[in-house]
Amino acid sequence: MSTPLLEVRDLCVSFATRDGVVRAVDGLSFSVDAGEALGIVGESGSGKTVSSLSILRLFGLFDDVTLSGEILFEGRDLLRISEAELSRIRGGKIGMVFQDPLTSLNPVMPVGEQVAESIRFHTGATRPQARKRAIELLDRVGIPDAAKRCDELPHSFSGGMRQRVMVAIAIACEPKLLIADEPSTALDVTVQAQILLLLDELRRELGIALIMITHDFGVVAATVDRVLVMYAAQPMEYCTIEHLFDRANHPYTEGLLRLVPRLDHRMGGRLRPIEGQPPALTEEISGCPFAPRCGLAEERCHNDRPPLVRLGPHHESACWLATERAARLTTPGRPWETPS
Amino acid sequence: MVLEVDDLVVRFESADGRPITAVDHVSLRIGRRETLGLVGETGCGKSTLARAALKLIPFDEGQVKLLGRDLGDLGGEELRSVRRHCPMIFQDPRGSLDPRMTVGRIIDEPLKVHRLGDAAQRAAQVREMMDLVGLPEELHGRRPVQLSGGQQQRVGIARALITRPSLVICDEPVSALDVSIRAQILNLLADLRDTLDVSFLFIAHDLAVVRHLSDRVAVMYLGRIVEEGPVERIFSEPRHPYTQGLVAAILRADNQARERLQLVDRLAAGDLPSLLNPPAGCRYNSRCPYAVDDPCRLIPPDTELVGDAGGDAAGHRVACHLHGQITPPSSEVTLSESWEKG
Repeated sequence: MSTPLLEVRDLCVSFATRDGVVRAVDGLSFSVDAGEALGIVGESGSGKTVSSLSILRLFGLFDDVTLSGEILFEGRDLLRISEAELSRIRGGKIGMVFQDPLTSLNPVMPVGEQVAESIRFHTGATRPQARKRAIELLDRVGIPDAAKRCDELPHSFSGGMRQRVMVAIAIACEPKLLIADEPSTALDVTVQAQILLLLDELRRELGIALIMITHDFGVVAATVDRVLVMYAAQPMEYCTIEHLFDRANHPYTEGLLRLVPRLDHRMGGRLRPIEGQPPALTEEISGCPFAPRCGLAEERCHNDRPPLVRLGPHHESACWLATERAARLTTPGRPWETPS
Repeated sequence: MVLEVDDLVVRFESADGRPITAVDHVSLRIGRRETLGLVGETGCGKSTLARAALKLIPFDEGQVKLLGRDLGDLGGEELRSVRRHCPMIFQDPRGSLDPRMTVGRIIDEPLKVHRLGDAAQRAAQVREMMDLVGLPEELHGRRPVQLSGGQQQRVGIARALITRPSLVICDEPVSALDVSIRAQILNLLADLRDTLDVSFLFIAHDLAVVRHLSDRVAVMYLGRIVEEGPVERIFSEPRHPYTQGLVAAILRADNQARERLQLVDRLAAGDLPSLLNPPAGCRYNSRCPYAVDDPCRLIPPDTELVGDAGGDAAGHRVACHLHGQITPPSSEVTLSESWEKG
């Protein structure tokens, strides 16, 4: 077997804050092969964003972070290389697209120059070369009239166009891996579709691996091959996108899937929300973090942290009832669709 | 009728003095105990319309009747007393609550402002309202910052309902919340709609959200209503290409997700034009895959009733020159196929 492009092993990330130690990622392992797309799904505070920021060590200057585990990218542990080496990888072999393009772009630098800057830094291209390449890239990501508009500042672009600029910067140096953190969440729904399609197209065309971080199962359904579901800093379930639709195992995954809009739900029918609140990340959690909100929780769920149970080649679930539940679902079904 | 808006026009001026028509000859009605979902993308004028309907911002043309009173003539104390019956719930629950006030005081404030009841009566009403919206009593003395996002939005809802209003305007009330919390709040609003004698104007940028609550849905685009009708009709038989695009854009978790994205891309191509320079004729023509020069790029379409006027389609109207000729291709049919079975 070839080694994966990215392999994260037992990643733990915590922040020291005024309110105590916040455990943002707690025992996360996953891998991404070259050209493959992985979705990391979770709600606010689930650790999905922090796990992706850890890959490139993108933390604030004053964050008091403790990191442990391994992040192997092309065989090198990114947690153990120098800042200078990492800055060659950031925006080079690994590109990133964030939720809010307006705060990610430099407001006083023309967009073309921002794309060119990255090209010059990583490839040593000359100014005219980088500019020419920047215009090609802006054109490729769908900026109309790119040769002219590349001299404009970010504020004169719409939200969707700014996000296209971000995508151009992210792919400027032909990365091996693209990390997209809620790339379409701040956009209007019709523009969201365009950006997701663009990322999907570029990934296939350029053979880039993708990590799509989102709170929305609809987004992963359209863009990725495999999914990792996180809750309260921990991995809950890991499966292929087909398994997600047909045999989601973890009660949390199932609960979230019930909330994805479906057009055949009876109009005006009640939603079945997940009751309660996620735990505070400063709390010490001994059992399964989802147990207090889980309708199936037993005593052991509250006391002992469940292991990730392997259910198949690409399916793991961190639930004490995983095997039992998987047996019940050997015939593909959609348990969350049964009417309440 | 609780709210009657006729031919409403709201104009602004851009920073460099050019006129912007944010709401362009819009008419809509909300009956007693009825919920209207108002959907559209950024800058379509939905929030402006809602604010003009309460005369929180002035309007330039048209007529607004709130609870049977013509707002055009009202001002000062009279306007304030009508507005008492029409509170708002906002998108950002934390930003819309005074951080220095306790939960109890926030919910009590509208009663105090409108001088409704003595201190003891008000305290009883606040407790009752907290119970109704699912806020535990021990939160009474807490401040907004000590609450979760869902709890903050419950406080906003309690504050809106405490005066027993006739119409509540909800402006993106769940957009800022996590999915699992969002469903709790949508269910709460559905319960309140079913148990209280109240109408809702429910504003959202996403059709999926209004679906669970609305009796009727109106879709806005660049200041105009392009389609309006009973909620099941809007989802099963959207007639305007833009509405069709919005229905396709509802992200669902199944193996057709990618095809639907492509469909959205085709039905709502490109970017939203600027309100400073809206397209001539039908305002949707720059993004519409069906648009033809004559009439789409020349003449603004009239709003026409579609379908059987008496039956399920009652009041389904659409503003599209081609609405009779557009037959959605097969992948578009799948949008409503599963619905038929439901």
